[in-house]
Parts: sequence; C-alpha cells; structure tokens
Amino acid sequence: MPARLATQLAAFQEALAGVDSEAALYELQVAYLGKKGTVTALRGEMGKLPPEERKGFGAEWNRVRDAIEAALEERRTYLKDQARRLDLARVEDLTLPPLRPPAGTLHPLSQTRRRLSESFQRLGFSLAVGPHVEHSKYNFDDLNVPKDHPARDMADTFFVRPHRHPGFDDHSDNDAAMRLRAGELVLRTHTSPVQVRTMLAQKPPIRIVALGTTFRCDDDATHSPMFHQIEGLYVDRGVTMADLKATLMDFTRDFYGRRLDVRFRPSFFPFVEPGAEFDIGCPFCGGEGCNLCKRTGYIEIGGCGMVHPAVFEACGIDPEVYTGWAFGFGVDRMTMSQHAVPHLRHMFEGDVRFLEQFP
Amino acid sequence: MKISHQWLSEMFAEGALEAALAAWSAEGKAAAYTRLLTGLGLEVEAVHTVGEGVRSIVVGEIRGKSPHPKADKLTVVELFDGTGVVQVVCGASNLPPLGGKVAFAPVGAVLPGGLAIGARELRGVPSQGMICSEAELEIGADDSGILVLPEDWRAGDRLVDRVPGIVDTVLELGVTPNRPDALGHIGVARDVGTKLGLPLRPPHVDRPEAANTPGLVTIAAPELCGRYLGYVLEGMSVQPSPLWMRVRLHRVGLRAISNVVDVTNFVLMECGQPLHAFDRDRLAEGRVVVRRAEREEPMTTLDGTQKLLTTDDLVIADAGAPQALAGVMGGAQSMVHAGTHHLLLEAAWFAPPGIRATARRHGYATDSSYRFERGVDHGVGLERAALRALGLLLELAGGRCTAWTDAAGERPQQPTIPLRLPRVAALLGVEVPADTARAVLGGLEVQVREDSPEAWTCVAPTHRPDLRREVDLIEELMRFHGLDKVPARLTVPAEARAAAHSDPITELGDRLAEGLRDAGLHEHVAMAFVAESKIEFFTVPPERRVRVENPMRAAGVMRTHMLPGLLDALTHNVARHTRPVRLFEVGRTYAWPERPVPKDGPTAAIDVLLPRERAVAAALIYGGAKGGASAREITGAAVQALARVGLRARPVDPPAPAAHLHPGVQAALAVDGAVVGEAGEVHPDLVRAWDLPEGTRVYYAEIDIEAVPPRVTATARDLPRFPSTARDLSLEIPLTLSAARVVAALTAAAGQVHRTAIEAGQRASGKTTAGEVRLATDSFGEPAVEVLEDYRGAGVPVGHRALLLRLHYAAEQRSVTDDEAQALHNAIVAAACESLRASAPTVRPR
Ligand SMILES: [Zn+2]
Repeated sequence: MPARLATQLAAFQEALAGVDSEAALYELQVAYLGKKGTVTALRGEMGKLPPEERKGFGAEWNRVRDAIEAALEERRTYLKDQARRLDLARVEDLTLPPLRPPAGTLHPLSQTRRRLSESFQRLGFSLAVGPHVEHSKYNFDDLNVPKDHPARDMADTFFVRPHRHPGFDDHSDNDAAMRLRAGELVLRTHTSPVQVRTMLAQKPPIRIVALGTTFRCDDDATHSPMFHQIEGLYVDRGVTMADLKATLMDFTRDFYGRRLDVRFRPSFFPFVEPGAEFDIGCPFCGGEGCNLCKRTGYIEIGGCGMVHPAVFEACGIDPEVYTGWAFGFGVDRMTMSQHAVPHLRHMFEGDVRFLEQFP
Repeated sequence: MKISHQWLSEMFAEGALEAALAAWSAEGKAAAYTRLLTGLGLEVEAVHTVGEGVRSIVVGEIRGKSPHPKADKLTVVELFDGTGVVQVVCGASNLPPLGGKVAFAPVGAVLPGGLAIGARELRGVPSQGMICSEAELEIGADDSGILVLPEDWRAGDRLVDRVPGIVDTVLELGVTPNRPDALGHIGVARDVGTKLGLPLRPPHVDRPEAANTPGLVTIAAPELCGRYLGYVLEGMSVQPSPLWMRVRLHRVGLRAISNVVDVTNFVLMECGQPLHAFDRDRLAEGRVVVRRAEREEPMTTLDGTQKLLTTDDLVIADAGAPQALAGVMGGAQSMVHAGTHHLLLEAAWFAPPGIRATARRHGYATDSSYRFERGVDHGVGLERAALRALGLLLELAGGRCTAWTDAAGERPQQPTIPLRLPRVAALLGVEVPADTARAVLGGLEVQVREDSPEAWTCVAPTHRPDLRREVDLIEELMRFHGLDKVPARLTVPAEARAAAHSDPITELGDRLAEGLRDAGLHEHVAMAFVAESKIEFFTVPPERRVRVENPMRAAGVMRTHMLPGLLDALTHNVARHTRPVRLFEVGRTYAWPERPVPKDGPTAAIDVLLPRERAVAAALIYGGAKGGASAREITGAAVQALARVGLRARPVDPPAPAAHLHPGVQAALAVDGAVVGEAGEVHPDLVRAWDLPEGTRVYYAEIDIEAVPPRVTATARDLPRFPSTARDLSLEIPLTLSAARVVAALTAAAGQVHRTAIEAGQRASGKTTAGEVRLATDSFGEPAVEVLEDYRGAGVPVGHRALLLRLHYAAEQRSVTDDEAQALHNAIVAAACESLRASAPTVRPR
C-alpha cells in the first residue's frame, strides 16, 4: 500500500476511536471522505502517477475508502446502540401523584337532577320550567286546592309581598298588582304549577317533566326550607294508571339499571284522583330486604295519581276526552340515600371538603 | 289520630272484628292492621300494644294502716288481696280508709313500664308488692297518688276483668285532609268493615222522650251554621268519670277531666263529632243564638284569653253575649264546672271555610276546629253523636233530658253522582266487578240506583264530604278492590312517542356548570333567600327586592345576587380549614322589574304580577390561607365556561363598574362585543362585612345565562401557506389603561393603515401588491396581537406599567420580508399610540 494511503488510514483509525457522538462521526467522515477530505485529495493525485502505477494505486485507494466507510458505519451502529441503552436505562416513577388541573365537581343534587332529567327525556318527557315566585292560582287554586281548605296545610307556604311599581299608577298591569291581596304570591311549594302552566300553553298530548327548586317553611334535621322536586305529567286520550305503573317501572330500569317493582298505596293529593303514594323495589338489595329499605324490600319515593278533572277544567282540557297522570318526588332525599349523606345540612353549606367527594 | 282496637271492636257484633281480622290474615294484629289500613289509604304510622302488664294487677282491700316506724311519709298497709292479707309499704298520701279498694301489684308482677315487683324491705319494713298509681299502670296521666278503685269492687278481682278492654292495641293513623270521617272510630270501622265484609253495629242510642222546644236554638247565620242540635239536661252532677272511660281516653291520648267533659271527648273520638256543653244556668234566658259576632265584640274563651271578634267570626251567643267561638273553643263564662247541674249540649255542623278562617285569625288549632274545617257529618251521624253523648251523660252524670231541638240552617246538598263502571277501567286500566262495586258502595253507605248494568246513579253519605264526582267514587272502588291490582301496561308503545326536548336555559346552565367544573371549581347550592343586610352592597334598590312575608332564619329577601351565598359558603370553609376554596353556583336571582313588563301567552295575566327571575352562573375563587390565587384565574374560569358552550369570550373594560367588585380589579366578559358577565376581585368592604381575615383576596365572576348568545357552528378557515413574521412592542401606558383597549387600538390602527395603503396603491395605478402584507389573523379569524407581559418594575414611571405585545404579520401568497413587516409595524404602532393618547397622553413605545 502506498505510504501516504497507509498514513491516512492509520490516522483515521486513531481518530475514530475517540469519536463518541454522531456529530463527531460526521465531522470525521467529512474530514477524510468529504469533498475536501484528505483521502479524497489523494485520489486527485492519482493522475500525476505514471500510468503503470495508476491502476494499482486506484485499487488500493478504493480499499482504503471502503475500509473507512465500513468503520464509520460500524461506529455509527455502535453509537446508536449505546444511546438506546442509555435511553432505556432512564427511570421515572409514574406512581408519583399525577399532575392534573385542579379537579372540580358538580353538586350531588345536580348530578341526580341531570340523571333524572336524562332518564325521563329518554322516556319521551320534555323538560318544562316555571318561576319560583308563583301566584297562588297556579300553585293552589287551579290544582284543586281551594282557599281556606285544609289541604293548604299540607305545605307550609312562604308568602311573597306583592309589588307595585311606583310612578306607574295608570298602568293596567299595575292595577292588577294593586288588587293582589296578601297571600296571593307564594314561593312555589311544589313543582306542580308547571303542570298548570304547561296545560294552559299546549294541547294534549302532553308529556313533560318539571325539575326544580321548591320552598316550604320547614326547617329541621330532615327538612330544608328550600328543596328540590321532580314532577312528571302525561295527558292524552286513553292514558291510565296502568300506564303510570309501566312508565315508572321503565324509569327504574333506565335510572337504576334494572326494572324494579312499583307499588301503589292509596293516598291523597288534591290535584290527583285516585291519588297514591308509590314505592319502588329497593334498588340497593333488589327487593330482598336490607337496612336501607328497613327490610321491607321497598323504598318510599313519592306521590302520584290520575290528574283530577277539576285540574283539567281549570286548564281548559276536557276530562271526558282526555285522561292523564302525574307523579312527583323529592330529589334531595333520593340524592342523600344514593350517596349515604349523613346530614342534610351538608347539602347546602358549600364545604369544599364535602363537595369534592362527588367526582 | 290514635285508634284503639278495643274501641273499633265495639263498632261490630261482639268478637266479630277479632275473628274477621284473624281470618283475613294470620300475620298478627299489628301487621294485619298495618297492611289492611295502609292499603285503604289510612296509613298506619305506628302500632302499640298496651296494658299487657295490667294482667297481674288485682283489686286490694285496705285492712289496716299504720305509720312506718322510721319514715314519716310511708304507711305500712295490711292489704287483703282476695286470698290472704299481705303487708305493703306505701308512700302515697291518698290511701283510702279501711275497706277502701286499690290497685295492687303482687310480688312477681311486671308493670307495663317493665318494673318487676319483688319482695322488698323499705327502711327495715318488709313489703310484699306495690300499690299502684294510674300512671304506673299506664292507664292514665295522674301520678300524684295511687289509683283508688270503687269500694264495691271485690278484693282479688283482676283489673282486666273489671275494666274490659284495658289491654289494647293502639294504632297511630296518618289521616289525609280529605277524610274527616276517619277522625273517629266509627269512620275507621266503616272502612275496616267494608274491607272485611263485616256489617257495622255501632252502640245503640235512644231519642229522648222530652218535647222538641224550638225556642232553645236560633240560627241567625244559616249560611255558616247548617244544623244545630241542642239538648237540655237537668239534675246531673259533675264528677270524675269511671275507670273504663278514663282508660279509653288515655289510650287515644286525651286526659280525663270530668264526666261531662270526658263524654264530649269520648264522642269526639268515637264519632269524629266535636260537641260542646254549656252550663245552662249561665246562659242568659237559657237559650243560644248562632250568629256572626259584632265588629270588635269581646269574648273570653275558656283558656282565659280575651279576643276581639270580627263579623266573619261565628259565635254561639246566649240572649246577650257570645258564649263560644263556634266550632273552635268554648267561652269561659258558661263553661262546665264542678257545681254545674244544668246543661245545654250542642251538636252542630258549621261551614268549614269559616271555621278555618276564625281558627287562623285567632291563633287556635283545636281538636274541634280541626274536624269542623275538614267537614263533619251533618246528617244521621250528627244526631247519632248527640244521642250517644246524651246516653252516656245520663249514665255517668245522672239527671234527665227535659228539652231538645233540631234547628236548621243551610246544609250542603248531597250531590247526585253518575257512575259509569267502564270508566273505572278507562281511568285505571283494571276492571272492578259489579259485585265488588256494589259491596264497597254499600259498605260505605253510598246510595246506589242501578239505571243499567253500566250506568249507576249514586248519592254519597253525609259523612263523606269528599265524595263529589265520579272519580271520587272510582277511587273508593279502587281503594277496596286494591290499588295493587293495577297492572303495568303502556298506553302508547315507546317507539310511537314523540321525541322529547330539553329547556334551552337549563341546557345552557348545565353546560356552563360543566365548564366551571372543568376549571376546577366545585358546585354549591345556596339558599335562594338571604338576610337583607347581605345584599345592601348590591345595586338592586330596596323597593325592587322581592320580600318573603314569613321568612325563616331571618332570610327575608330573595337573593338579588349570587355573591352573598358564595361568600357565606366561603366564610363557612375559612372557619373550618385553610385550603383553597373554588366554588360556583348556577341558580336564579330575583328582583321586581323597574317598570311593568308586558307579557304574552296564556299565562300573561299572572306573569305580569311576578318578579323577574334571572338565571345566573357565578364563580368564586379564594387561594387558601397561603394565598396563591390570581385574579386572572377567575376570568380564566369564566372564559373556560363560555368555551364549553362554543363561545369565545374575552375580558374587556366594564361599561359601568360593579359596586361589589374592587374598582381597580374588574372586567366585563364580552362575546362578540356583547357583555354577558363580569369578573373581578370582591370589594374589600364586602370581605370585611363577611368577617373574613383582613387582606383576604377573593375573586368572583358571573355570567348572565340569558344574555349568552346561541352557539354558532364553526366555519373552517383554510390554513396559511406561508409563515407569519412577528414584531414585539413594549408600550408604556398608565396603570388604568386596560390591555383590552390597547389591543383594540392596535387592531383598529392596523385596519386603518391597511385601508390607507390600498387607497394609495389604487392612486398609483398598477401597484397591485399594495396592502398585500397585513396584520395576521389567528385560527379563529381574529387579529393576532398577543399580550406577553405586564411589567411594573424599575424603569417605568409611577402610575404606569409596560405592556409587552407581539404582533404577527403575514401575506396570503408569499412570505413577508423583514423590511415590509417593520414598515407596517411602525405605521400601526404610531397610529395606535396617537389614538390612545387622546385619552391617555402618557402612552409611549419604549
Ligand atoms: Zn333494600
């Protein structure tokens, strides 16, 4: 081998041993085999050789170049392996507390309300709403709870002071407000005025559910002056109490994930006749009896019945043509039993240590 | 309502109820009653078995009495128990004389309260048993002394044999307001009998032989008093009632007083009919007038309080003054007392609304008003109750009936109710057989005429004022046929139903709630009413606040704002822990509108009378005891919530500052230029008012849900093909000039510079590239002006800050050169500064 080639090869091999990065490897490649590389330069000198030496030199030069290229490739593979090994040797403990944005929650009452609302929408009930401050005509009179009737005692009512707009004495609406007597405006004691409003506004078939805040002056360990109710109403030709039972059973299947028995017990609510309380098979034990259902296999849910003809008449619906049913129950107690909330007060205090328990 | 099983049994042939109940169900009396009555809509709330411990009590005769050698208050009694004489030590002061009879619990007895009687020594003297009080035997309330029994009872007799029915089962019923008939044993018995197929056999009564004397009673207000039966008794004597009567009353929760009062109470509980007895010697002219009271006419009721009456109050007067507040409470003057021997007994029917109004007006809720306002029987039941009382009075108080009368006012008409049997199935989805219907209506004493197999005509009995229409009768049939027989069957199959829809405001509120939750906030539910003091900081003036007439917890105003409820919750949290508090609430606020707002739709006439209810989403952030929350977290939460409903909100200068927020730390939230909410730091005065630690920083935002515009479906924009070029700008501005306004000025200036360039290009015709380079837009099509930093350190004059901004420049068809970008940037900055200096002269680029 020509001495100059041998010298370059030896120099390359010495330099290669010290290369520990891809970048340095590339630099080395350029230094020897690049356009201006030292080995490339030797090939240029080949033309100056006598013709008889040229061929031999050319072959030697090719051998040296191949050797360098092979060595470079080998080194490159080695370095990649090395880097991969190092990368794989990293350890990070992902059982450390995860990093996440602070977690917020929806109130358990909200969660129950949404689930109920979604369930009933799936069963074809549209959501209806109404005001919290209501006129006694819709809260009582049109629901067959006449003034001076003991049935008004069934709900301790908050009364709202009527308002007269100062400076609008000649306004006819103001006249009506002036004629309002004390006791005519109330905080709705149930969601039932939404029934009246809906029946006044639309013709059957009516299939609605009203969900919302209600008020009664009751304040003790198990009663809050503000609470939440859900109410369903279905009015059409040929609607029966058997349909109510089937619908409530369908509801249990949607809401609790399995079809539970529904049991009616006669009771009295002025706006339905016949009126009943309804129990459902205990969702916690499936009816076998547990502590939550006091071993009866049933839990009390709420009231229901066939819409009273007097209510239909107040709303301009002919009770000879249409029949309907309504049901209602409290959302708060259902929520509390669902989540085993120990005290009612937790529900309305806003303690974040309580609220964050309901992801 | 307490119902005694023994008493119910007396409403049927002897032994019939016990046997029928056992035949109906083998599960035992308590369980059988519970299932039977609850199934009929008379909910059994509790069952008590009482008097078991009385079985071992016998009649004892006092044979000797001597003082205890060591204790003044004790007596050593020689007592004959029917078989022998035992020695008993007794502490009572009312021991009868020798030969007297007492209730004796021998050794081995276990009293109703659970006390086991053993042989004992009382201060050195042996005692073989115990002489009992009625309270110890749980047959009365008197615990002041021992129970003294009639002298003619034989020693050794068992008390249970002497007082039949002393061992009893007592049911507590929840009676709904539509069932006044079930407020007496007869009414409950009628339901039980109908269910079990037992004929009702109430105790026998007799009409008096005296003459009808119409002058006894005058009804001057026939619209308020439908019927008034009066009976005169002479020569009777007021005494304690016999033991059976006292036990009976005790079982149903009443206190025995005297034979006359006890009889009226007894009949109240048996027939559900309130009665009143006047001392006739104290009635002027010995007669009564049922009339409206005079305006402010005074009267002292038998509880000793003086009332001023109104002309809406009905009174039972004598020839001169009111002697009873009709149906509510008797008067003091003519009340029965120990020396009464001449009575006028009243049994009447008063119009329910009037009784209810009078009771409420004068603050009474008596056993009497409770029944009258629900409606008592004005027919045969009324007379039956009167005669039952008369019979008992003659039996217990002696004397004789010398006169009576039956005065008539306006009695309710019993409606004629058509009943179509197929209507039962149409309403309930289950058929009731005609035989069952006949038996049920018969049992309830409904008169039925069967016009055809399917169409009947019914008249309800006077003791059931709730039976007015066909549905009421259908309910009766179903109560007895069994509501549990209603099958489960859909009228319309699920697939044939119309699709349901949600409510838009509820929907929007729910989505905003999810956005706030995702921003790390916890949902709170606060009371909708607050104390007036808590909303005084807010802008709704007192005359527009919605007030509750009868508030609880002193919270008399419907909240005009969400912040007080969130601050209350914050205070609660801060008092209990040191952690951050991040809360939100979606709810309503209430206020009267400033002027009448016209409404439309079928409920408009009512709706104009109601206050405005506004749906609001509100958020509160407090960084915890160590601080750490930033004001920009609250705007972040609000913007995130609005992003959840597909809207891009930005904080801008508030159009008018909110008084409850810090004047220097607040912003309005805008969507497409429209204000939908506010955000800022809670005003330090409020922080103080809520007693939070001095210097506590609390941040608050709210979104007016009804102002939130509808979501717009996004239209995709093509992506820029060439990169944009950025230029930074450091602008020195006064502290009070907002970043939003700076960005707006730069955007406006960019638009203006761009228009000028195009116009110039058009003038120098042919220069088609004019205006090609412009301020870039972001992915949402909005100007790409970024705010990078708000610098307030060294080098900035007092009252100023430096805002570091980055503006991006781009052209549609090519890359932008540095020179082009710089030239445009310089022009925009110059124009923006000029416009900002109009209101803030110190603005300058740094
Ligand atoms: Zn259970």
